[in-house]
Amino acid sequence: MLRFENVTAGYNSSTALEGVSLKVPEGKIVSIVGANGAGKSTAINTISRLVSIYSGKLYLDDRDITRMKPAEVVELGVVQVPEGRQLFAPLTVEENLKLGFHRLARLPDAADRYQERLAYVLDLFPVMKERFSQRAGTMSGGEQQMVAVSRALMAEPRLLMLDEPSLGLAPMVVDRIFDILARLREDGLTILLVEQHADAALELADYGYVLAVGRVRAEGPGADLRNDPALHHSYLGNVGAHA
Amino acid sequence: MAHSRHIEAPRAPTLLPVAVFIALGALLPLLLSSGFHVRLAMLIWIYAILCMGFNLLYGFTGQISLGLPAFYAIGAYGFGMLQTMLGFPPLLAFAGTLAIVALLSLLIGLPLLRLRTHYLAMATLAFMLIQNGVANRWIGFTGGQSGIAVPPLEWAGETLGRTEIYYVVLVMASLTLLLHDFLIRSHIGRAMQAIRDDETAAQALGIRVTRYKLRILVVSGVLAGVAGVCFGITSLRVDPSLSEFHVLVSVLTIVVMGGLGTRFGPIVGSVIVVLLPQFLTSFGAFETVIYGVFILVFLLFMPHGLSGLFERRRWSLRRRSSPQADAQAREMRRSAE
Repeated sequence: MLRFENVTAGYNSSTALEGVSLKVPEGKIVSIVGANGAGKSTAINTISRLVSIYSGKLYLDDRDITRMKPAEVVELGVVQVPEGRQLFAPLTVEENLKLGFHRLARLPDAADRYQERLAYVLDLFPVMKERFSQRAGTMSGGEQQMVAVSRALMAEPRLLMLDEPSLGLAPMVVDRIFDILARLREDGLTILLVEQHADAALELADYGYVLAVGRVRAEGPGADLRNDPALHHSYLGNVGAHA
Repeated sequence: MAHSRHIEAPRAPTLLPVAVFIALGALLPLLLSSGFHVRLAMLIWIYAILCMGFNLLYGFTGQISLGLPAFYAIGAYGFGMLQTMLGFPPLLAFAGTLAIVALLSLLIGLPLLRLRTHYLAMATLAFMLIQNGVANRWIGFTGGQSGIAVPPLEWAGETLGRTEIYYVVLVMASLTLLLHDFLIRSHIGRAMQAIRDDETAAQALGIRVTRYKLRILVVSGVLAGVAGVCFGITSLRVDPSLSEFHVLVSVLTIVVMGGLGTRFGPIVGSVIVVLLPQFLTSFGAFETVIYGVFILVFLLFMPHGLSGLFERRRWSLRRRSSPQADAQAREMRRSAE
């Protein structure tokens, strides 16, 4: 579905990803793990076209999206849950969800599709039913993460990208979020997961990539990477010790 | 989480308050005893139109343009000049003025909207100073400090009286209020607020940030132009004072007192800013001091303005009426611990 071909990307002429090639097959969960500063978030922001690509190509379904604008990528169904949630704090939960629906808001059947998407996310996160009028900024970290995931799902994504969804959350809440991701995969959604907590991310993933200093150092099925002690020692340090 | 520069309550979902404002406006001339009071009422609506544009741009989209008085003045000058110099009838002059203001906003917005925060504020302020300089010094074209005359509005060969002109201004203000309300309650308004709170997060949701910013800049410029036209038809004279600092100060005071990023802040603020000096005249030399103290009190105790105070109260009452949600959240937090 998504393909990086030898991509070099970064911010303000400093390189954060160097010659990265990776694939995200349809209907699978792919995890990118690595220590702080490895370039994991840059990978997601490169796909969202929020950072500059200096060389290489980026394909979605064999369509070159290297020079697309962020809004054009979202219109193709590639949506991210950013690091730290980045909810719009002064807005209510409902308004945040409607912002997620923005890409579909001008379609002729928008009203019906909004209700469909809403029913879907409320089925995943029933706690939000009674939270509609609450300002997102007043919620706990776990609740905010649920709103952030729901907001992205409201866009009816084909590829959902999550940047450090476990950041700052209690282990039980993280487990719940990861359970939801497994269910989304069962529903046919393709997921790209960027995580510092390598164990949890690789356990969930069908396939994984280990990034270090902007380069792919290892790749393989999630279980294989997870059980490779040398890999943990060399590139992941203690960050896998989540559970 | 995205940082927030402005906190405001969710908008109420009904059009009833809008209808109440318009109905009160329609009844006002029947309650006012003198022409001076009608003129004050017109000034309230004119400032409300101007500040609704500012509210959309700064309060809801987070883009501070200090050049709005320039568009206000261009609106007034354009309406007068198109009639006196080119012989346009009033309706055509009105349409032409709005087209000019829209085009100017677009031309200024294209390069300037790449700038953020105080850079954008300074650049737009520079535009206001340039416009004011042209109005003052290009005497052959603008009349210099004396300004130009605006022909009085006529209907069926008769010049409209003060009350009829009040209703023309009220129609403009009502249309502006409906547009303001529609924008902030629609997906456009949510996109504007997303841009205000975090441009990058807004982009990641597929919002075309630059396009929205440019459109709102044009809308606010056009609304300033409408306010300028209204000023022209009420005062029948336009001079460079329309784009001087005191207008900018009035706009900022209105949004502070009324409530930046609120639904009715521009109207509430305009009522206060126009009427307060009338009540303070009895204090003589202390008038300005007391006015300043009022502004300070608003800043300290009502940072969301008078309108924000009511909207937040309504929101918190609604919020409290959801005990089930609180129970669920407590349960979730317990399980997380």
